[in-house]
Amino acid sequence: MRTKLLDIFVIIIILAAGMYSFNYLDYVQKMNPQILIKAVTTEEAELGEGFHGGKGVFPGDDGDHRAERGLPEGGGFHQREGDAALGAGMEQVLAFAGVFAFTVTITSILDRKRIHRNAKLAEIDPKS
Amino acid sequence: MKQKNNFKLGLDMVMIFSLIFLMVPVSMGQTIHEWAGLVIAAVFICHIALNWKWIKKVSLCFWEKLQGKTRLNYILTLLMFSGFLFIIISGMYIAKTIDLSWLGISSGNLGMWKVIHSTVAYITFIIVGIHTGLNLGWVVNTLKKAVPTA
Repeated sequence: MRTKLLDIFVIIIILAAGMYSFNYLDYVQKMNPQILIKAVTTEEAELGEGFHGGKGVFPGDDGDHRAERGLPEGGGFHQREGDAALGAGMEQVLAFAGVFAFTVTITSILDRKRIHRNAKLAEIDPKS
Repeated sequence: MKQKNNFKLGLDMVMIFSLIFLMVPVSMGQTIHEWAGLVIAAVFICHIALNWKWIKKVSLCFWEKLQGKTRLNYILTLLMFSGFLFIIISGMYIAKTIDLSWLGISSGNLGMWKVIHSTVAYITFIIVGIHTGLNLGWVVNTLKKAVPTA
């Protein structure tokens, strides 16, 4: 019973960390399909500076004026308002750690159940 | 065998840490990001070569009796391979500081390559996290054998 409660507790903690890291995929979700289609189907000369140059995708769109606001270079997917390189780096580390820990926990729980099931089978039928 | 496993583990650690830094280009600057990207491409090829026996073995008996974990690991391996391939190729197209024109690479639609590079990088990074988690047992065993006992 205590093992089961501990399992549940660990899963909740890991799920929280996992959800943070999957929230990280919000970066991907923020990619509006219209923007994606525009980027893929429009010739480069017609686009703005692009995702990394701090300017917008669409012609005439000069992005979020990052330089004027004293923010580091880069825009789009890699930088959000106020992110420093360290902050962005920490997000990557936390996302990786969250997914890693989530996978390890699920794997160890499933392995333990498999060992337990095989042990029970061996008790019932020692020849199997 | 022990030395080979130690080498593989060392290489894997280098890959993971490099990958984390590569995911934040502003941390190292554009030039280092591009050169590190090329280096990790070579490391990635080494990683595949070192684990080729496992890849070949599982490929041949994928549809036979196999543990679910092994199948999942194999599918993730295929996804990561495709992911890194897209990342490296798109990276070569959007490279600013390295001149790759001698390879016949012309940027063309830069926007498209940037979208591919960023999107696939984020997704592949998550898959690497899952792949590392699934292989933690091997990492722990290799570390235990690597550490000399008193």
